[in-house]
Amino acid sequence: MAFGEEIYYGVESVELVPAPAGTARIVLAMLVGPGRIVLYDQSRSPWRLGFELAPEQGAQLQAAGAELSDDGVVSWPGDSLRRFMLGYGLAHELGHHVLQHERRLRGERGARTREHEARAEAIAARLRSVLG
Amino acid sequence: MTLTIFADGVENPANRARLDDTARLFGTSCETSITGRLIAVENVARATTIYGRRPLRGDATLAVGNERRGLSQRTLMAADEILVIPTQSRTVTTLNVAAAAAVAAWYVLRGSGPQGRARRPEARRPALLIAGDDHAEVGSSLRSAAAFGFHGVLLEDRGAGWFDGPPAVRREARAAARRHKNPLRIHRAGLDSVARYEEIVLVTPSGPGAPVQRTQLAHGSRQLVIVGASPSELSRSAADRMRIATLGLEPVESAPLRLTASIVLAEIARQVGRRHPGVGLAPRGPRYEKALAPVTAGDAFIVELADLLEF
Repeated sequence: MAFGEEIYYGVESVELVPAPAGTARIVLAMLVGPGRIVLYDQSRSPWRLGFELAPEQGAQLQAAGAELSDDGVVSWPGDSLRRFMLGYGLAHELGHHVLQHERRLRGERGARTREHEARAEAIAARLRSVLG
Repeated sequence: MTLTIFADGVENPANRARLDDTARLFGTSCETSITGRLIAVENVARATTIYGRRPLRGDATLAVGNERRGLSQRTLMAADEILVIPTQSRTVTTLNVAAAAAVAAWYVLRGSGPQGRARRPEARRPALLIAGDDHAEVGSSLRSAAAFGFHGVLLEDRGAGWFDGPPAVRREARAAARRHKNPLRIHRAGLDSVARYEEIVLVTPSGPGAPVQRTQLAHGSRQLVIVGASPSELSRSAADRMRIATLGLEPVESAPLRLTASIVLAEIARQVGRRHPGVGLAPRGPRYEKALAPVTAGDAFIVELADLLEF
């Protein structure tokens, strides 16, 4: 992997913005345009979800260091929330970006949504393993 | 002033042969070394368009890359300038490597005005008739037609086998046209179909005629542009509506259709122009988000505050 000014990666911005209000979900990050990623700010620990998480999402939170209780409370000890946002939020959107960028389809879908999600998650998993 | 062509990792022998043809058409040669400025042709973000350039001054080398991988990083890093050939298709976004070299060489040597902006560019696009006798040349030309934004093309098949050739020939022709992602509508036609057009422009690779860059090629559906035929083949009845335009290439025995057609198509695309920005709704790119969501939507129910107090 090469880094430096001479290499074009296509990521234009990673921006931290306020989380959208009035949604039942907790939105972590979004690829909002070619090379433009936004990360949404999150509440401080602990989180009281008020809903049941899908098992795979619960597993992701735990893998990042979160502690889940049966009554839907998620605690984030240390810098685990930061690691979660970088490793599962930002890395996932970078995965989407890589797919779009590789196909050079600015403004076009590089794959069907389900396939895009799966491949973005695979790229994110690889990023997590490389970066620790 | 000389412009040489540098084929960076081009693998297909047929493409290498067509690159040699390209060089011959421009009175130059394919070289394995760089002379003068290095001008790379590649679809990268920092590339500038081939349109709107001044004619070349001094020596330069035009680099084109591998059919699948494009130019090597080494060549891109060494390039003094990177050019992109703007395409207008969502699915066919590249040209055959020799066709790309011909288009780039033509604009680098001659220069041109910028690509225009139009409110309704499709209304300015002329009809196109391609006449060809080689299946690979016809296929590559149809690929270029789709890349430059054409939705339909008239094809006079002179033994190329596009419509009814042997399966192997048809397969190769369709592969050259990138038919699996090329939505171009291809209509069987002949030179006799020129009768219904008010204006006919026949483009020849060389010889007498007005320079193609000074010929209006954006008169819409009433105009027909013909590539691959010679003036003597058109009937006398069409003579009063016909103009001959020339690409001004070096006279050779047989100029490959993919090269001449691609240059003509690029010039039509330049003159027709792109849609003016801000006209209509801008296409919205896909958005992807990562979120934590409830297992099932609709499981929750809303409790009014009054009901809660009563409880």
